[in-house]
Amino acid sequence: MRWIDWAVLIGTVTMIVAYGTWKTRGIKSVSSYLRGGSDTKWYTIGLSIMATQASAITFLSVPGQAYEDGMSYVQFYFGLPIAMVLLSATIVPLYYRLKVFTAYEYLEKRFDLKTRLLTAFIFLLQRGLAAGISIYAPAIILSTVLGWPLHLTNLLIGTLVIIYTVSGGTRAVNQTQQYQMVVMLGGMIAALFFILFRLPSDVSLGDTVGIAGALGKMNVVDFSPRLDARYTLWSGLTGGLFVALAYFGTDQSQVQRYLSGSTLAESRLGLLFNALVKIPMQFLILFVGVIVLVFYQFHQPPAFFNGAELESIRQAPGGERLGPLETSYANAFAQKRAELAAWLSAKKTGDRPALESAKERLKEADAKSRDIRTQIKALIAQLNPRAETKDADYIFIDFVIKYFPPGLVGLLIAVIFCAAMSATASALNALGTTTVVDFYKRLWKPQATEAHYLGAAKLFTVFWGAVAMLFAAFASLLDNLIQAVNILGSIFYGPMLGVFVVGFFLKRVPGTAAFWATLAAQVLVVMVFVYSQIGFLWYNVIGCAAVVALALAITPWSTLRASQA
Amino acid sequence: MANDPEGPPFFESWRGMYLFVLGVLAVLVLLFSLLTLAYR
Repeated sequence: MRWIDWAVLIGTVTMIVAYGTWKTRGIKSVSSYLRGGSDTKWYTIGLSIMATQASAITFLSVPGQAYEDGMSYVQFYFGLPIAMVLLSATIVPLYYRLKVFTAYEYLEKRFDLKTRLLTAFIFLLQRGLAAGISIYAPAIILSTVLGWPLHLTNLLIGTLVIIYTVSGGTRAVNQTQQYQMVVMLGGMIAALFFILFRLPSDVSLGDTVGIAGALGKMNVVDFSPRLDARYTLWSGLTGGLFVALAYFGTDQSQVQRYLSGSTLAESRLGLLFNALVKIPMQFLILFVGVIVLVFYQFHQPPAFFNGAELESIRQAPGGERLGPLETSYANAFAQKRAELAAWLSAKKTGDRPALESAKERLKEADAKSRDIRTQIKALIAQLNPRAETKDADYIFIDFVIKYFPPGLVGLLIAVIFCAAMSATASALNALGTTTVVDFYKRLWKPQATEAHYLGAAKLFTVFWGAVAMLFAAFASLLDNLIQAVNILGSIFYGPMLGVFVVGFFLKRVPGTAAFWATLAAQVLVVMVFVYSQIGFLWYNVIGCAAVVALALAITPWSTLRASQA
Repeated sequence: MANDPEGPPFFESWRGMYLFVLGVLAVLVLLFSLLTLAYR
């Protein structure tokens, strides 16, 4: 990185942190600290909700995913607008009416204390681990690509987040997130235009999309009813809906964002803003990945995008076997480049038979090139069994470092920092709030002063920040960490959503039935995870349905026991 | 909605706003479908 990149990165990150800390200094009321003073406008809520969901991995992995598998991932978000509408019409007015600080308080009002504590505990467990990952995941990639010390990067991200989250609470998180989101969106739009600008001058936008389509990457909507396909229109509208309902309706890191609204209308508008903007934003991020792929049809891409790993393999015993494979890869690229020229020429002349024939040959050349890349990955795995051969997370950042001009590199690294910080800040803010409201105040110190709770909230936020940084420091000891946390989230979200659905729609289910149904459904989902091959997105549906069914089944027995007692 | 003294902007009721959001979703899915069909 050059000095201008450092200036852009440090300037962007520190200005946002300093502004957020300064703007929210001197908060004295615990209500302001935990609920953001209840004066937040819809646009701040909307941007804050989006920034909470957009972790650094969104900007590192999603373009890489589009590069490998095309645009189909956008379908995962098709259920989100429906979830926003359902939540705005149902649970959000309820939270407002009950004047709750956390989502789990509602469960005590509706059921009993044990159900509230169970769900709050599940949240702390799941979000506590995820907070560590939101720091670790970008740190490991930045340290690999830029050679930064891993622990120092962890420490830097964690400390910056703790400073403003502890200082200004929810208000500081909301204030900083709106600017972080502007940086993230601005950075990705700048990236899109820059990559388009770097394509050959005689290749139009139509040609670019056409090339992506010919390579099978413009697969935005898949109508097929296949259950084994991860992203289809149907899995997006069902699985995506359940995930969004659980995440936005029951996860305190999101609930806290919209509960800070000055009125119910502002909160609803914030959620609906997210409903309107989220899909186009994900489309944009995926499209950046597709354009990178098109760029690499004109310039030879690396055979393996984690350059540091490739170099270490090259130096290792047996590394000389890479050479012939890399030569084959270069030859395959040259052949693909020739087929692409033929396809473009046929497109310009409008010769349809020639176009179809060139497209088939282009696909064959692409398949050959991919096959050699798979062989290179297999060789890496053979020479170093501990090596991570999934290099999709490195595709975009490798491209940024190699091809972006000075200044824009710093801006894109700032995008990754902003994303890591915004996701972590919401998590720490929610973890601190839940610990104070649902455990400390409820169980141990119900009658303390405002100042006492404010101090406790700050202390618990620091505690969770330290836990997250500690987890990030030891995260490399675990294999397949990111996937593990995604699966962990899916294991817990289903039962969590289920208990809220029961509370809201099944008025005759009592607390004891809800508690045991949630616990049993949680065990069931863990067993499904251990003993079955079902895709983890379905855990959300299974967990939610199990809570509803079990609660209905237990209710007569539970009611009978209560009447006998 | 009965608890919300403020209505949404541009719409007479929240129901209208919700239908608008779902309508935008339908239009996006339609556009994406056309894009998929045109460039497969």
